[in-house]
This record gives sequence, structure tokens and C-alpha cells, in this order.
Amino acid sequence: MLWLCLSFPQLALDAVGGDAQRHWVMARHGAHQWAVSTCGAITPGMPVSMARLRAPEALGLSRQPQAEQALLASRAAMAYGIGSPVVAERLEIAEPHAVPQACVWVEIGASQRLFGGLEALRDQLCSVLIEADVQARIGIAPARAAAALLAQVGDTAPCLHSADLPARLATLPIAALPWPKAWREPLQGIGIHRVGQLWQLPREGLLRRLGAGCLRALDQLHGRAPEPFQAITPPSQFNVRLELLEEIAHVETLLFPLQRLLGELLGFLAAHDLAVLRLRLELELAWAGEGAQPSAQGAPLELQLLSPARHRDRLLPPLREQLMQRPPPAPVRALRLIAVECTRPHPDQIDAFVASRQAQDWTATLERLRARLGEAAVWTPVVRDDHRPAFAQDRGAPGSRGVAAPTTRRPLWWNPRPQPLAQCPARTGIERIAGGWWTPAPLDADYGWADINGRQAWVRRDVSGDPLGNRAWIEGWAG
Amino acid sequence: MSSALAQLIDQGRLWRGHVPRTVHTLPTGHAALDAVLPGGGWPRGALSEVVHAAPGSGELRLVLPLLARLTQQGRPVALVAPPLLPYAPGWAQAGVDLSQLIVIEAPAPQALDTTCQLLQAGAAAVCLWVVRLNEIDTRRLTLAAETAQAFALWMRHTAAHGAPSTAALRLRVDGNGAAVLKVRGGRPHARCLLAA
Repeated sequence: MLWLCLSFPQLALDAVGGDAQRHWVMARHGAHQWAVSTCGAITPGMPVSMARLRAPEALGLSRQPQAEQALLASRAAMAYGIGSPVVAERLEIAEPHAVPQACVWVEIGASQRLFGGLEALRDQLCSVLIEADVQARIGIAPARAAAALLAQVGDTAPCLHSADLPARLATLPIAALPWPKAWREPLQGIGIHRVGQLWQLPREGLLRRLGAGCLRALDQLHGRAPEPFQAITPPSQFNVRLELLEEIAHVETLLFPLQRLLGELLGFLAAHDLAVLRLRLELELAWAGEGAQPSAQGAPLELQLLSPARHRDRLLPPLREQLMQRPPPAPVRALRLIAVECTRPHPDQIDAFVASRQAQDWTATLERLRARLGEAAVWTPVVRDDHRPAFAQDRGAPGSRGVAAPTTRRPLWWNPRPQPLAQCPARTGIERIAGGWWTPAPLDADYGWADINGRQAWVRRDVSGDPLGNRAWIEGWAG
Repeated sequence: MSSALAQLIDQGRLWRGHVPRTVHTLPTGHAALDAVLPGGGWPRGALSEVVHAAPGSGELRLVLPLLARLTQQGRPVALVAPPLLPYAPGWAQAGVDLSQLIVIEAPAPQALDTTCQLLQAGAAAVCLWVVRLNEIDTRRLTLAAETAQAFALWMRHTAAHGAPSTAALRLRVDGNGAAVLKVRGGRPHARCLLAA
């Protein structure tokens, strides 16, 4: 088994939704409070009083364990794209000044052949992480604890065999391990600072002084003892709520948390190999807006795409257009993004690189125009199978096909509101069309071409017994 | 002849009488019109104007062969802000592949911007119905058409046609004939009959 460990040093900050330059997260245990994230001069493990001295203008926020758990689960779903099983754990010790480590392990022993080597696999994972805008450190080792230690220290070279583990771990500090103080302090007292020195100590002495737990942890670190784990299953639906740190009234500022939500959505789509067709973005407002929405929920933004999409530049521009067109009536307190409909993605065309990229540009532009002008403003004419000329045409979704056209001559322009004429003019090519008696709009009329002021008009005369006499309407023009 | 002069002539910025210029065109589909246009058709990558009196005076019949040829090649074609509804059976009878046709009902202030975006995104031809375009707008449209090497067609009304513009081709159509009012690299021509 070969494990790849992703360590997220700033998970606590991301779960709270803070900015790395202005916010830091603090944890408490009893009377002690200490920082657990990095912000400028503040390092994890620093007491709160020293942190406030070092960076007085940064704001300290308290930890939110449930949010961290949810965020870790969503990031674990991202790792499913390269291997299985996936284990997500937060290594925490209930002690003052202990820095929690949040790690996701994914077993890649079986996937190397599929991806064509370890380098290709790592590049694939890095591209998914960059797309989702997530910072992580990677460590690869045959044992989970060893992979976590390599990731924590920042050693990216993979260790492929358990026989190499003692040599690789020899120089790493014990302080980087998530071990309780009851184990670390006696070791510091006798001058043991590196894992290699610990490995060379006699085992009965360790068992007697530090206990069986420490010995088992050391064996697990070197791959000599089994490490039980519980694999995490990815959620089947994407429905994520993001609570904002402060109420946002300006639409441009709302785009930053929206980009973060889209990053999570892209990770979900990559893990399940899906593409999204319909999205819904719900805004929770600070107070109820005026008008038709009495509750504190803004009208949800629905986005219907023309073809399934899984890239950021297909999803962000239409959402941005809709937000600009209909800004929320009150400051926004939280966002919820729901993927309503997902399908298998269309494979990209392989015939010509230029052709497929142009097709994507065309669809993206049409979606942007639909978002800006309204969904009813962009359509394709389709021919319907109906004898009545007014119903033989329809507005269809862009790119849809209809049936074949009739053979008799038809106009090119259609009047949406037929123009009445006082008297029926002389016409040529008269057609009698009757039908649709089972519908609310039956037709019994004759159509013909007339010359009106130099233009050819298609004129309809009703023969269903019109009491007003010889009336006619202009239905269309031969352009 | 110096190289700079040869370059200017090649780019078409200098017109020498009696010397035919290479213009990239697509045939209009009307033989009488092709005979009088330099290059024998609609100029590619440029703005063309079709001046007509009212919808239905023959402007659609003039451009339909071009649109039919482009849609049958699988290239998308867009109509921006048409005054009436394009009637699907009639267009299908003229040979247009309707699945490649898009109609966009944009309000007048946004029509030009929409047209430029469609040209940039890869439309083969865009027909625009807008009453007035000032000089900056026509230059924007020409630039968008040149970059995309597509056909930009502005359907103008006769009433507003007095203002000068930088189009490469200006035609006036009425009934079943068309007159060439202005063409880059050629001479204006009187009315010629189009095929029925």
C-alpha cells in the first residue's frame, strides 16, 4: 500500500472564511488560548497574548470544529479522483498549545499504472487543487503516519518501500509528530530530538517508561504495525452553504466567496467525473428585502447551461452577469450553492483543436448573452409539424432542430401582430388552409401573395363566415 | 516599384484603376450582382450595408444565399434585433440549416456590443438591424469583422442612409433589384436584377 497524504495547514482559517493577511484562528483548552493558524508574524502554537503583541491589527477568531469537518470532507471528495480508499482525519490532542493537523490520505498503490507514473499522478492532483484554489502539502510513504510526517515537514520526495522508511525518517524532528506532551517531554529530557535516535533506543525501556501506546505509534510510523482506518465516502449531492464573515452589500465583493464555492463544486465534479447542467445559488439576506419576498431569502439565481460544463470560466461569467443585473436588495449573510442537475460530460472533440475551442467559446458567449438579456431573448427558429402557418414555427433552444419545411412558398418575415387591411387585395398563388378544429384556435382561411407598395405580402382572408365582410390581414412578407 | 508601395497595394489601401485587387469574398448567389462586384461576392472580414426601405423589400432574399451557404458548412450565423420574426419554414425553404441560426432580441443600446461579442466568439456572419451607428461604432464593427474574418451585415433604412460610413460595400435593394452604391476597389453600379 502506498499512501499519499495531503496536509492542509490553513484549514481552520478556511473553514471560518477568513483572509490569511487579516485574520487568525485561536483555540482554547481550559484557561489557555493559543493561535493555530499563520498570519504574518503569528505562528501556530503561539499564546494569544504574544500573538496580539506581534500583530495588533489582525483579528483573532475562534475555531469552528463542525465547519472544519465539513470542509475536510469536501476536500477529501476531491482526492477520490486519483485513488481509493480515502481517509480524512484531524489529528488533535487535548492539550494546551497543541496545533491540530488536518490530513487527507489517499491510497495510490493501484493507480500509478493508470496515470502513467507517480509524477503524472501528482501533476493531476496538483492541477485539481489549483483549480479549486486549495493550498496543501503532499507527502508519499507506505505508512499513513509516515506520509503525514513527510507532508508536515515539507519533504516532497516519495518514499516507495517500507525498508527505506527508517533512513528517510531518521533526521525528522519529533516535535512535528502529533504526540502528547507525556511522550515528548521525557524524550526531550534525555536529549532525543530526532526520530532516528528514538528508533535506536531499546524497546523494553520505551515500553516501561512511556507505555505501549508510544511503542505502537512508533511502529506504525515505521510501517511495522497495522494502522486501522475508516474510509470516507463522498457525498452524492452538492449542496454547500458558506456563511460569510461579514455582511456583504457590494456585488463585486460577493464574487470572492462565490469563487470559493465554485472551487468546491469543481472539486466535487472532478471526483465524480460529472459535469453540471443546472445550478442554483441562494442568498440569505441580513433583513427581508422589499417587494415580493417577505422572508429573509433573496430570490434564488437559477443558471441553466446549454451544454454540461465543468470549467470555472463557463460557470462564473453567467452567474456574475445575473448578479449584476439583479443585485440583492439587502446585504448578504450566507451563500448556498446547489448543483441541481449533473450529467456525464461530453467528450471534447478530437478532430481539430481550433474547432473544439471555438465551439466552447460560442456556447459560453450564448450563455452570457442569455444571462444578460434574459433566457427568452436568445432562440433558434424551428419548424413544427402543423398545417396552420401561425403554428408551423416556434422558438426553440439554441441549436435545436425541427421537421422539414412544406414545399409551397412561404414568407421570410412573420408579423407577430397581423396588420388588418380594409379590403382584400388581389392575390396570386392562393392556398386554402383549414385545420385545427380540435384546438382553441381553429383555422379556416385562404392565403395568397399580394403586392403592396412594391413589397410582396402574404395575406390571409378568413372564410369562416366573417360578418364584417371582406377583411384581410397581412401575415408575413417575402423578404 | 518600391517595396512600401507594393505593400500598400497588396493590402488594398491604394486603388489603381484597371487593376483588379485580390479581395477575399464569398459569392452572393445572384449572378448579375457577382458580375459587377470586384472579387465577385460579399467581402469577407468587412462590414457591408444593405439599404432598404422597409422590412420585406428584398433585403433577406439578397443575403439568404450567403447565410444558407455558411449554415450548411456548419458555421453559426446570428440575427441581432430583427424588426419582425424570421419565419422558420420560409428560411428552411431557402436552404438555411436552422440549427445553426440564432436570433437575439437585444434592445437597441446593447445591439452593437452583442454583435461584436458574437463576431469574436466565432460567428460566420451576423446581421444587425439598428437605426443609427456613429463612426466609432462602425469602426468597432469593422474591426471585429476583420479579426474574425467574418461577414458583418448592417441592414439600414433608406431614411437614415445619408450619413457616410466606412463600410466596404453598400447596396440598395428594392423589389427584385439591387444597386451598388459604394464598393471598395470598384465603381458604383446602377440597378441590376436579381434572380427570382
